[in-house]
Amino acid sequence: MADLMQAKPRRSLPGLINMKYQAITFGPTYAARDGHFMDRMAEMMNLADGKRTVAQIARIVNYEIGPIAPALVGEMFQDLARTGFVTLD
Amino acid sequence: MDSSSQLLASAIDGRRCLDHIREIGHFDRSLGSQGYHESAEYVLAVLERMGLERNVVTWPMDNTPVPWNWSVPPAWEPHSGLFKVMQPEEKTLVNFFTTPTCIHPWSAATPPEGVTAEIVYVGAGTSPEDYEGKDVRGKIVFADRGATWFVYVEAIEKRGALGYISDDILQIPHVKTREMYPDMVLWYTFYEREYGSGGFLKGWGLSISPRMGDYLRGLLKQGPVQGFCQIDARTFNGVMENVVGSIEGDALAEEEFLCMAHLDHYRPGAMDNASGCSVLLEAAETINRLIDAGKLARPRRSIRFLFGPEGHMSNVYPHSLGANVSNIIGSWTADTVGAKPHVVGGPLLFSRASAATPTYLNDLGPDLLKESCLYYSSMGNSPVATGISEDSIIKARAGSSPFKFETIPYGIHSDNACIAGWGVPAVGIFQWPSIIWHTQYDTVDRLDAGELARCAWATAAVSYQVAAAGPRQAYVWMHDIANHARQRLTRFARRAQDEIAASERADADARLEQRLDELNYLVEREAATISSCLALVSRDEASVQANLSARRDVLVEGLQRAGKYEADTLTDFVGTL
Repeated sequence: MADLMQAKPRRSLPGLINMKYQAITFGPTYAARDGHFMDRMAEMMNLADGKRTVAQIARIVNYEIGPIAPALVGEMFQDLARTGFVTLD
Repeated sequence: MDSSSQLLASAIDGRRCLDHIREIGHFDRSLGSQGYHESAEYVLAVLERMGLERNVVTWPMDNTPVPWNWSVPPAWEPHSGLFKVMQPEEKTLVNFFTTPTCIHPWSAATPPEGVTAEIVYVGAGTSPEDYEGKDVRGKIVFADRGATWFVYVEAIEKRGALGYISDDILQIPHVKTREMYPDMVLWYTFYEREYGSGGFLKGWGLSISPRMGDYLRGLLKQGPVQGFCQIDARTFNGVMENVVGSIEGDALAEEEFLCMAHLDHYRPGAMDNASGCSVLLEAAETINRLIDAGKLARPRRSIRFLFGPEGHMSNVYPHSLGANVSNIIGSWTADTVGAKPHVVGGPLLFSRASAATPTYLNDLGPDLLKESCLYYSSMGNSPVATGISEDSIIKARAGSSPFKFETIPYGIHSDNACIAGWGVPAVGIFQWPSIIWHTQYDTVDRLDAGELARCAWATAAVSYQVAAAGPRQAYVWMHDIANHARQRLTRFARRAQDEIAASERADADARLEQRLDELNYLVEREAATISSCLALVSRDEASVQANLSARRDVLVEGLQRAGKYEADTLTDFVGTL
């Protein structure tokens, strides 16, 4: 987990993930655990510049979007990496 | 207050907005449809009449991969739709001609003669459990939660249902309930392709009203029910037009401020989003006319007005710019605006930019909405129930009633959210909740010339001020932001005091640590926002940039001192508990 929090996500493509695809793909996993997961993931993608760490992004979306455990942000980034939306350096 | 503000207010007319909304509302503006093309032609013709530079950026709608995250669907065009109960009695539940919001876009057509099949009720219809013990293959599903993207996948794609109907209206407690709006028919779009194969959709979805839904539930309790559906719609390889109108700048013409309003959606879609289009058209016409008349100086930067399909134009357009996308120095979206709050149920919202792009627009936008009270009367005498955030405003001229708006964090609201993914500082205005959103009640009679004028003025003012901004404006805005920031830090610290005081003593130290970290974060964010003003002079002389950088440093140091003062005070306060 410590390694994950220090990873630096980088978005693979510009633009927002199609929100319907996002809801169908990630909703079953995250909708019940984070009521803001759609907005949260969008902002996480915006912040994934390859310079900020997962921990830094987790801090930002915690204060900007609403409270969330950093570990859950890390989990979301792992899923975004699995689906090819980001790379985790 | 900028000197252009009053001039713009004196020239903007919300009645012209209503005229545009009536014209655009004639068309069913489904993506890639004939109606969409004709509405784009209308916008293009208006821009031509105004004398603006025009450009159309096209993109194929053929379901092929795109070099960005938001996929582009095939074109879709509805012609007719009808759903009836056939047995135990014949009754029409919904008809596209009278209720154009009923067909879910990208629905496949039925055979021309229609289909008759058993209706199977599946409860919510969003999870596999809803279908246990039910055979829906070749049948019509009736689901409670049709306004999600899951029913298609579960009912049609996985289990072979012909299609589904739903009376979901996306209720909002106390604002929009089934009991309050029994005849409401919600427009809801599918994910535009099969989730599994990526191909065209094979089934269809229809919305019916709560009244008809309850009628159907009653029939189903008595025994099997046969339904009939006939949909004439086509999914095809088409093209989308993204219409751009430009007011060219002079010294920095290659830089641009980008206003966006999506043109697509159901008929008439007056508020969503003929209203936003009308606001941009009125802003464009007013600025251009005042420049031509010599009353406004031509701005340094260009102002572009972009009209296209929601979620698509904000990808197609920045992609068309290539590396020059960085020339978009800021963006403003108008989507679903122009009604008095007591008519539609919600206030105007200002959506902040992504935290990835700190921007002066986060302060300028709310400042302009406050300033709008000087020029526009407000909501009327009816009360409006809404949460009040710290950036809300209740302000009125003597003898007038208050105007409220709220500032909300970045989120997936409209094209401002999409273009943020291209690194553009992007904000937007919306009205929410809106009872009439995506329903057949979204008609021009719900809209108000005064509120449309307010939004058109705010759009014109922010566009012109940013496009014209140079060293003086950068200096003023840096100070405005610093002043606001200090107030925000103080408000945050007071709230933290209240929160900690109300908590258990044992939790106080942990809460203090959290709030001090958040305070530090806010100082960092405000400092970045002040620094964003330097982008306005990035092509000015080095001495100008150096002077403003020095001024920025002074303001940031002051902000950091204010943050430290609030942190010390908060720490001291907790020590006294």
